[in-house]
Amino acid sequence: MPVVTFLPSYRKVEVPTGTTILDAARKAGLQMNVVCGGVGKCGKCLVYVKAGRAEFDRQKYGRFFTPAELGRGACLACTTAIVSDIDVTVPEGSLIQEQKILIEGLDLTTAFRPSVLKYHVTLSAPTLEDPSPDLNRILDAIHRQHGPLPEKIFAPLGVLRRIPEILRGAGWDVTATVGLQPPGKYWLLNVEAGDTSDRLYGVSIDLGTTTVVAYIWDLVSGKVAGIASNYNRQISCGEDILSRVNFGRKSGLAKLQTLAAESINTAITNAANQAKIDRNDIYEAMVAGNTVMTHMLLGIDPAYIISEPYVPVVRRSINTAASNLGLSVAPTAGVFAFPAVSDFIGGDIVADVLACGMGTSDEVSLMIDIGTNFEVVLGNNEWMFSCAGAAGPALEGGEVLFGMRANPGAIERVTIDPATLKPHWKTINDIKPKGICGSGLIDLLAELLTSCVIDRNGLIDTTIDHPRVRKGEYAPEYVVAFADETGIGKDLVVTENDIKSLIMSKASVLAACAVLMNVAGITHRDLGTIYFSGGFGNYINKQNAITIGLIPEVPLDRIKNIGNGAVNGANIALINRDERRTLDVIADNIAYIELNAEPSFMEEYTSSSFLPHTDLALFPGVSAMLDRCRIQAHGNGIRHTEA
Amino acid sequence: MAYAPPADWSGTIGLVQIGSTKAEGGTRTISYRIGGNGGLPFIEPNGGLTRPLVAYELCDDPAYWSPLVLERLGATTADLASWARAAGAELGADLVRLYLTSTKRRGFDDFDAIGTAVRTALGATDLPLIVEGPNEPSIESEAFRRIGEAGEGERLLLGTAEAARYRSVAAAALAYHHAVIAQSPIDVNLAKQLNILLREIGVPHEQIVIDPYTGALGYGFEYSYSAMERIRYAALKGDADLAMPMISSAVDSLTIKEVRDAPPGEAHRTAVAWEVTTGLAAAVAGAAIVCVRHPDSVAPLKAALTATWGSA
Repeated sequence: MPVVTFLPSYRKVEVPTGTTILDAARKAGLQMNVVCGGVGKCGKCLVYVKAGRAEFDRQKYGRFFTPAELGRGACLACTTAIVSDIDVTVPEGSLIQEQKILIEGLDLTTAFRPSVLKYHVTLSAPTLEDPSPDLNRILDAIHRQHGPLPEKIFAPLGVLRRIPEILRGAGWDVTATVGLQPPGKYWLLNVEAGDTSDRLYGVSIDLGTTTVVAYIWDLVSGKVAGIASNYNRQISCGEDILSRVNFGRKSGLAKLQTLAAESINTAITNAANQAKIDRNDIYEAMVAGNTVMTHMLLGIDPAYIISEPYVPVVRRSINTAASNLGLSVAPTAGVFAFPAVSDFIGGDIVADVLACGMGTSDEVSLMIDIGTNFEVVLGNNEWMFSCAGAAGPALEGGEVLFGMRANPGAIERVTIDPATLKPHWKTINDIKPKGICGSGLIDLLAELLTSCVIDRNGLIDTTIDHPRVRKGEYAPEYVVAFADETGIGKDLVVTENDIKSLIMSKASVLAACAVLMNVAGITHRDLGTIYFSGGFGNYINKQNAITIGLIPEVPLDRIKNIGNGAVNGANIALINRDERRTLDVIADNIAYIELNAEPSFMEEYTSSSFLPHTDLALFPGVSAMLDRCRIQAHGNGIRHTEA
Repeated sequence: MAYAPPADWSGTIGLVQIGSTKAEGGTRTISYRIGGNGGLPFIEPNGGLTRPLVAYELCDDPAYWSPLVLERLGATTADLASWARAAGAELGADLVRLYLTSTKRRGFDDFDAIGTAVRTALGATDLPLIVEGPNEPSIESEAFRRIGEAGEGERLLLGTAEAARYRSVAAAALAYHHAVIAQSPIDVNLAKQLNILLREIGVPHEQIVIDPYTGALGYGFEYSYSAMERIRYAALKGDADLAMPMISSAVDSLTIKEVRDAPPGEAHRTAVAWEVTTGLAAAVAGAAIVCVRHPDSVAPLKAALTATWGSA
């Protein structure tokens, strides 16, 4: 079998002939960037074959690379089959890097009512006169020293097995951990030697398709102790949910369950290290994830969610012990998985709804969560409608020639001077630009529109005589940064095709909002607050989001970011057990609108496939602004006059 | 039961001038002002000022044309002047629509010939002229400039602007004061988007004619009918970006399966039946200009339109 050596790390791996470089890289533990799931569509998994033989179809895939790159042996890892022993150089840009993930200060006000408590108790040793069992001694002591307990406390077998030794070893001075777990029963979760009552933690987790975020809370002081995030390690089984479910069908669900748990464990470990705490002092975990992710973590087969008639196995909230899932917290810790609304509106969205508080307000709010897919919830304390759709990867930098995730070197902000068409950009970490991430692309679209480089259909005005506006090799393009300004050594451009992808993405989001408003019988004038959930919302320029028609036009002060709504919702549920009880009711109250079955969706989509929208009356502010921009643009002399 | 309009109309379709008489600065013996209706044509009293017009379509390079037409007209089609003359004098068309099919030839660069063709057609007929230019990005800018220039003063109707390519044809229309056909694929929203794009680069509404695009009857016309109806409703309800007259040309009527597979001797009759029926339906849906290619289609379609118009 051929041996593959990956440079510069010198990782070696032996694989059967015909294996793709991508699979070999996975085997070698390299996390390659495969936006398309490894089907030769995104061109992001560039590698250089330095020595040895591999089969790569240049005819079909050569378009992703420059002649110079091809000369150096460039090929796509996902479509290149290994023939003999080879050496492969993997450029840094082809690997998944540390991502900038939203981690902001919490701005929550909710009652501090955790559902786990620790009781430090000193017991009397048993005697012939007082021979009551160990368990009763503990419970009686709690009752005596901390007041009456509300109900009977159950003790799991695992705890009972350890009690006698601990009690005697500790000289009858112990700390008991008691948790209230659904359906409203108290459980003795642990008994430890000595006084550990100041060490009690909970963790809330956003289990995303791409990233996992963990917040460790000190459940004694009610403060955040540590925060960490990392990639969902399932990415090695496919970038998007669909490819992962298919992976599960072929290779078994167990691997996906393990990877989900490991991803969470990595986040918990990092957060615990940051907080300098022992993970075994974590007695409760709240998990908010989409429906498929939640199924996978729980080890429930999600295969029937992704094809007609799209049925999840369960949508109510689930409680289980951490040990059942392989989470590295106290084995008896309760894990609470958020309930889902439907196949595509998962626990993460229910958490969003909890975090923004729209379900308890009279005002009609719109909550938009944009990621690989998008979810929209509209409503108030009386009614709620939700829908979900594919925004396409464009808003996250996928399927855009120079699109990239929000990694260092990504252009995240852009302005264009309408008089000179010169762009000013800011990159993440302020290094030379390597690509453009979602917020940068939205800025670009808005700025190209307001400087009249593109029309409302997204077409570049090639009559403009300017070095940054070019016919391009495949499509007209605008040069965001010339080769010498970049960190990639080639001109960084945005093409008309990229712009079309972006418009398609933004049109689906806006059309989804419109469909929900139609269903509810309201207009954009009835909208109170628009909430953005997800990292995206925090970095996005609100005005530009309206200018391109990603969201309905409302006054800017009515657009709010709830940050990572999934984790914030999980935080609320963690620290206030009463909120947890309402979640199944909230989930039940959210009606799900299937966009594919909604006849008005295509119509709304077509109307929305225009910047900002075909019906200008819906965007009066943008419309007036664009009128001014056009007048300005025609006065600046850099374009050929049309007549 | 008395007819009740489906809605309280607040809008009026704008007027678009096609052709220019001597008095107006051109050389046509007649010019048209299409549109102007504040109600639905054929149905409501203010449905239009005049009967919908019939345009006869011909081309400068018959290699790309329907064999039925070539067979029926013979040598006439080899000479653009004769063909254009016949359109009005013999067939009785209201306007002539000239397709510059010569530009479809690979490596086309004879821009002088385009100007000549337009001038030839204008010289041969005194009817207003619609000119259909190329849709090849590499030549369209120069081609439309030449077309516009050759027809200066004649108020041509230039085709065709689409969402992906409208700047060249719009530039020629603006520079030489012609009107533009704005074609979008059978969708009220896309029609509106293109009109907005044209407006935003300076083409006034009175120089735009909407082509909602269509297939022949049974080949997509049903969708077009519905799109046209929606465009008309939206305009009459006050949407200014859709308040332009419409043109309809079911160009595939001569090539559909029914015509191709018609028994010997029946092809012409079938083609004409299809063209006339589609054209009449398009007019009822709101088209101010309907186009045909078969020479035998002009008279029956005009007669049908006149009769239906008169009875409304």
